[in-house]
Amino acid sequence: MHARLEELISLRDRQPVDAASAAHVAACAQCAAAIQRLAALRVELNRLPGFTPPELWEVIEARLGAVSTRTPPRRWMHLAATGSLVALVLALASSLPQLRLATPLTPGMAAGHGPLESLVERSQRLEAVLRQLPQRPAVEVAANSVAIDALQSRIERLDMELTSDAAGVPDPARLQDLWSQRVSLLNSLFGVRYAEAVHAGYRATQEEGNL
Amino acid sequence: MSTFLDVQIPVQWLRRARAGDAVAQRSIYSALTQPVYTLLRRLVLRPAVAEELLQEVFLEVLRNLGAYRGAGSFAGWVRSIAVSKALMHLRSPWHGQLLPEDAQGARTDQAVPHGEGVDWGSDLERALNGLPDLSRSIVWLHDVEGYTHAEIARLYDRTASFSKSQLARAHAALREVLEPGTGDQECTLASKN
Repeated sequence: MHARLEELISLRDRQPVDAASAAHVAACAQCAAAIQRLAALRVELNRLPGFTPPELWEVIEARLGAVSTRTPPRRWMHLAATGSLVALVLALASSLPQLRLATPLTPGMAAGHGPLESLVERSQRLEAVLRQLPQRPAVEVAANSVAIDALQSRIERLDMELTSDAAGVPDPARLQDLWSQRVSLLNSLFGVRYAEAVHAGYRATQEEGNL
Repeated sequence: MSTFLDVQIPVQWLRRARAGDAVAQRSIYSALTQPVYTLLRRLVLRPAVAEELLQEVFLEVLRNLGAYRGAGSFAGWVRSIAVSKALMHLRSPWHGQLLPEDAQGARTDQAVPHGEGVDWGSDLERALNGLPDLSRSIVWLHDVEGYTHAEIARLYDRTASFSKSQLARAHAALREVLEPGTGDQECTLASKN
């Protein structure tokens, strides 16, 4: 019997295969030719041209808030940054009623009776709002970090499960339950991040006042 | 071989960039942006998504330079962040899920609708782009970036056997597109009987 494709790839990569397959390939012209073709394909893949990236440095630098060591920051820049932070937090706070982010899931929804599309939409909106929150402060409160890490881990595990579920037989009730959990976790994550941002903004304002 | 291996970042750049020097940060970005963007385009295909991820990768890299301890090359560290970001995108529930080929089905000419700025280029390019996300990403990570099956297994939270079988399926699919009809003469198909 000829070698399987997996075995031929292993032989191409000089990885071990079982002795019978290796012995067969050593004596089989067809298998040897197949290995050569696999090797040639790998060469061609490596020769594919690269892509020219768009120039995004200015965008990245702006998002990074990078401060050149050649130009020390000025006090007005600190004040402007602090003002922006406070404004953003206030804007997010004012948009809460429209987004209904803090609205807890109803028992029915949590039990899987809510519309799936609505849960997915809420999940996406929550993620969009989370992305708008300011960067996490350089000096973190340990309790916040632990809570945020735990929530993010749980969301990642849910995402894995959501992906796996889609691979098998779809179970709408289970799917709905997973999405409900996801929305709930994102709500919690937003709550912690929001409180952290408010606290950071308050602290920055106090520090500016002390200058 | 992976173009990441050609990139050497001087230690002085890293030290200055860690201190917040924007010039050094830009130098790091300039040295690595092309391999990172190419990797992202190969994994996620869509230029708009790749651009977004490119920003995310460099934001994470430059904000966390202190996390790079010097074990392995800096370019390799950046690559691992880029791979992680791309797989997180592919794994997200509202993206076409990162599924095994059997579940996802052939997606030739469906992975990215035409007219979205994807260069379909050569036959191989077209064949590669037509693979499902999972197969395409495993082929690229293994055959071009040099990831081992064990490393791929960790990335996908699967086993090395899964990685091997997906790679074999991907190669079979590539062959079918590049040399249609020749599969029947292959010794590799005889074992399926």
